Amino acid sequence: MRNLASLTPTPRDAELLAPAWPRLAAELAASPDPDMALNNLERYGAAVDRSVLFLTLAEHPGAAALLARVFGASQVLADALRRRPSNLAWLLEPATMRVWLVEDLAADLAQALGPFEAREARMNALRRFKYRHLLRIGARDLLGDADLAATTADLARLADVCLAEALRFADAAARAAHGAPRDAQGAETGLAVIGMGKLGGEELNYSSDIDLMFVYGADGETAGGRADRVENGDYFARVCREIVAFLETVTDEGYAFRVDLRLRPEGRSGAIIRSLEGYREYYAERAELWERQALLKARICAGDAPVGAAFRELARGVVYRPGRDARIVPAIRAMKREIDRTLVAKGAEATNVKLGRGGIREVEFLVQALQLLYAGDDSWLRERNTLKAIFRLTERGYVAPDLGRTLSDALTHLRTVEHRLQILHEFQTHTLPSPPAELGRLARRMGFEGTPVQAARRFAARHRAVRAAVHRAFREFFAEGTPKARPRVRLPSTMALRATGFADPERARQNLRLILEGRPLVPYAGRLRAALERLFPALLDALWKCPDPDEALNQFERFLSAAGPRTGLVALLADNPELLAGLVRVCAGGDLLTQLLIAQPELLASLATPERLLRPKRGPAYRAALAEVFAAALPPAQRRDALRRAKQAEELTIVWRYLLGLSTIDGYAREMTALAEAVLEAGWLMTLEPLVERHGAPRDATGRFVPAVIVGLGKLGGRELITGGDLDLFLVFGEDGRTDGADPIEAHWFYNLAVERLAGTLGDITAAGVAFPVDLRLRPGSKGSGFASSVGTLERYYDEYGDLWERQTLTRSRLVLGDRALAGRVRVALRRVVYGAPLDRASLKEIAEVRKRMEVELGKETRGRWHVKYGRGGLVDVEFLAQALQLVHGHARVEARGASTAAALAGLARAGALAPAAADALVDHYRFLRRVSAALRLLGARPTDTLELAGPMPARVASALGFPSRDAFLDAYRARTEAVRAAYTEHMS
Amino acid sequence: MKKIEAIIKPFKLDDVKEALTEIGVIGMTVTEVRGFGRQKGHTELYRGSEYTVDFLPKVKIEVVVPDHLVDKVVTTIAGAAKTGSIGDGKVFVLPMIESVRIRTGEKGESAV
Repeated sequence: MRNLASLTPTPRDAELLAPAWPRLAAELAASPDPDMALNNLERYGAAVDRSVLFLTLAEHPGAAALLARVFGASQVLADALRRRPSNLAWLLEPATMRVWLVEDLAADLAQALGPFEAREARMNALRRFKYRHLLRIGARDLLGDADLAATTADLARLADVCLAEALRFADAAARAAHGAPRDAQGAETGLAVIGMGKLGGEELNYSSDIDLMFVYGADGETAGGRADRVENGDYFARVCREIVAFLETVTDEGYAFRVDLRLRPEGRSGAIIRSLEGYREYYAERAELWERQALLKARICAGDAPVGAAFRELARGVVYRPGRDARIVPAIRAMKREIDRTLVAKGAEATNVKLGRGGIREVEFLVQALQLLYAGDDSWLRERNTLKAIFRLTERGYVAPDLGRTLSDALTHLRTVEHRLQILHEFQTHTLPSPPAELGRLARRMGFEGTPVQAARRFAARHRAVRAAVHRAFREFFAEGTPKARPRVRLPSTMALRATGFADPERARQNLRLILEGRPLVPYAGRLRAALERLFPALLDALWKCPDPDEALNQFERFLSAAGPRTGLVALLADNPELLAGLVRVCAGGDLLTQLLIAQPELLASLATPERLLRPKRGPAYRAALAEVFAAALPPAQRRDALRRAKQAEELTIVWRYLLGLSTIDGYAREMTALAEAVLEAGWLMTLEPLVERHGAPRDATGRFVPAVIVGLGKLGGRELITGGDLDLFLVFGEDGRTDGADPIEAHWFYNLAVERLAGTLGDITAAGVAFPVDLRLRPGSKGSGFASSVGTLERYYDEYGDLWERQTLTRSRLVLGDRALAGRVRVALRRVVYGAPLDRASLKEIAEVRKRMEVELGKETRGRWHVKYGRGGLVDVEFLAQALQLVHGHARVEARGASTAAALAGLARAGALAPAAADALVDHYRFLRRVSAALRLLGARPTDTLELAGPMPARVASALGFPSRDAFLDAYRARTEAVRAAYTEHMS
Repeated sequence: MKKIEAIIKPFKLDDVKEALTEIGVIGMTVTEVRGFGRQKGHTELYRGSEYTVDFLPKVKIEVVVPDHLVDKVVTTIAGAAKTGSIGDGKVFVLPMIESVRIRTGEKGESAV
């Protein structure tokens, strides 16, 4: 009350505040700490013109919520805003409250620094910039607009741009004094800033120090400037010291970032910067385990790109070594024991969120240990961000799915606690408060509801459960195991393995041993062992019969270890030789398929019933299969996961059918497209439900429902989708209008939100993976525009702004979902855009130009690397040829308007635009190239559609496509792409 | 002697203030104001809720400087306040007839 009185010292103030008061009061009450919020509001009021503040609160829909939330949760942000009160107007601009990309931040920083030249003034401007964006990031976090991952990544980007600026400034000053640093050959050399720890992992906290290391290219001397020439080492050391000072020095405007350099070689006593060669020598001789562990997170944040790339290459060799190092687990165990000892001494093992029992460090150590153990052989695990690393470890089967989910949930919870502790003051605290009232406020900052006492109780229960789960996993992994009982089955000798077709018998033997003994996380029980012993001879038999036993065994081992100690599964395989043989064959043919199975090993049982596999499913069957996602009253997050799992189960069947030769490439694509449409429909319903609940349904001025349709493009439009493809789509709605619910919004905003969320519903990575990545970039409208357009805007856009390439993409457009009447209108509109007027042949040149650029910039073919999609004579040649001819002839000849490439080619032949024999040949080449592309995807080639001639891929693709040898396949590929290119050149010029 | 009035985006105030200090302008008057120019009376969406923008929050800076400094001050303000987007504001230069330092009664440039 006293605060309220001092907020309105005069009757005029009270009068001005009155209209804003109801909303403000409600927001204050909902804020984590209402007293603190009001207190800060009063102090803020004293720093600004109250009448302006009260008007803003009354008129701006976001002002009350923003101030109440920030003022009631974070003293440091409240103080920052009070120090610079005019930042409020910026925070209330619509364009401010979004994710800022690095380029946006860099441009904003450049503008903020523009007027200043002096060091002190630039440092001050940098600090103002940092605090302004800290306010934005904090506000979005506290308002629930950004989740933990988005917030911590945003903070890391903020640090990145500040670092780049500090480096630029420091380097310019040193250069003016000593001239450019040059290597022994006289070429200029540069410096790269390496972010470590949370900065490297793009998971920075509000008050994290930033962990840095510095590296420069090569030794030599500078060119000389105002002052003498110096050795490069001295030059760069000076630059580094200046970078640190530029960021750390406390000026009138505070500091930018605190820098921690202790992760560098030799820690505190080591040189501040080393050359690439210096690092190479150091790591070759003395890389200790903790240093390898730290380098897992190294990321080049700023500076010279070639030097950064060279360092990254060097670090990769240090961190990731082939084979499994037996010393890793005991060494990390010892490190953690040391931490425990210090904490117990302080009595903080239960309250320290970071280092305590079941805390963040235990999750990180577990993840890092697994990465150090397995990422040497499996490069997919080389991920700096801990949360993503957990996901990848689960995806690859190094962590059982349940445990993966537990760990990622736990890490998110623990990091949020850490975050909410630190946002209060800018201290680097990791200790839970003990007074119940304070704990209650923390719980409310975390979003637990109720009075502080209730919130504290709910929080404590959740926190206890999380810590217990983490610690259990940690203990199980790092437990000093009792020596395992010797298996009764004898492993075949390497000689025997080589004799039966294994190219790498050592690795095969290791895999077989793992199958029999289990990975460290999944010790086997007695019953399982018995089932395994039964499985073993049948497995060896199946492996010997399969075309690529090495790869089959690798994948089979991954699958089995991911499935965990499931006796039932092993027994099923042991009793079902046909299923086992099918699985082994599929393992040899597809990395991706094994991944699907790893996510849900229980699906294997469903594949044991062959009837299920013989017939293809169609749309209604897929819709029925997905219906179960809606059956139970699941919370939204679980529903999303359920959708992902249901989709993966169906995809598994589709791919299994293709790999066992039960369907052709066309059948495979048709089934995948039908599945995608069913998933799209389910995802659309899931997206609309909460929106309609909140905002109501969109209606026009006369009260009629405003419908919408989804237009599919690309592979979705052409029914050519295969595993790993994106859904290209955009949304069109009827007319303008408003929703009729409690919180009404414009129809265009409603659909804008809906399609944006649809992309997340299907495309976000959750513990269950993704359903389909959604790509909205082909929508009508410029890059910055909304995601939904009305029929009117759509037509206007293509008439006024549409480029030729956009018209070309529309040849693959197909109405995939939504209101029929509106679909009819949209179809007519699109048909007019695409086929309204014939394309003159001169414009073919423009299309050919685009194609040429794709070939150079995206295909990047070399003698040893081919690109099936963008390369010379690749898939895109056929697609562009078909689309270009469609634009020329489709106006006059309806039969040439097919939405798939094969249909288009056949139609063009009927229309006389292509010789029938030429069209048939192209369709056949196209099918061949798609089979190659599918094989590469299923075999897990990265980047997708790239064929490395030097690696094992050509041989594996050859055997997947049924060629007798690697060379036979490569010859066929060469001949077919030559033929495609010849046809392309003939028709496009 | 001229009076220079600038209407700028509020969050640019500190940049402008500091840039002016750097070129030797020491005194200024700052007012929080609300106004509109070409962006008048449109609707905006903020975090999903729509509202009508009549007046936008701005900051008004007033400085009085000798004639030879006018160009420099105007460029400095314009440079520091620029974001490149709509609503960056305006700078006005006004003639100055007289000034008096109240405490001493001094007049003219020495009173500024």
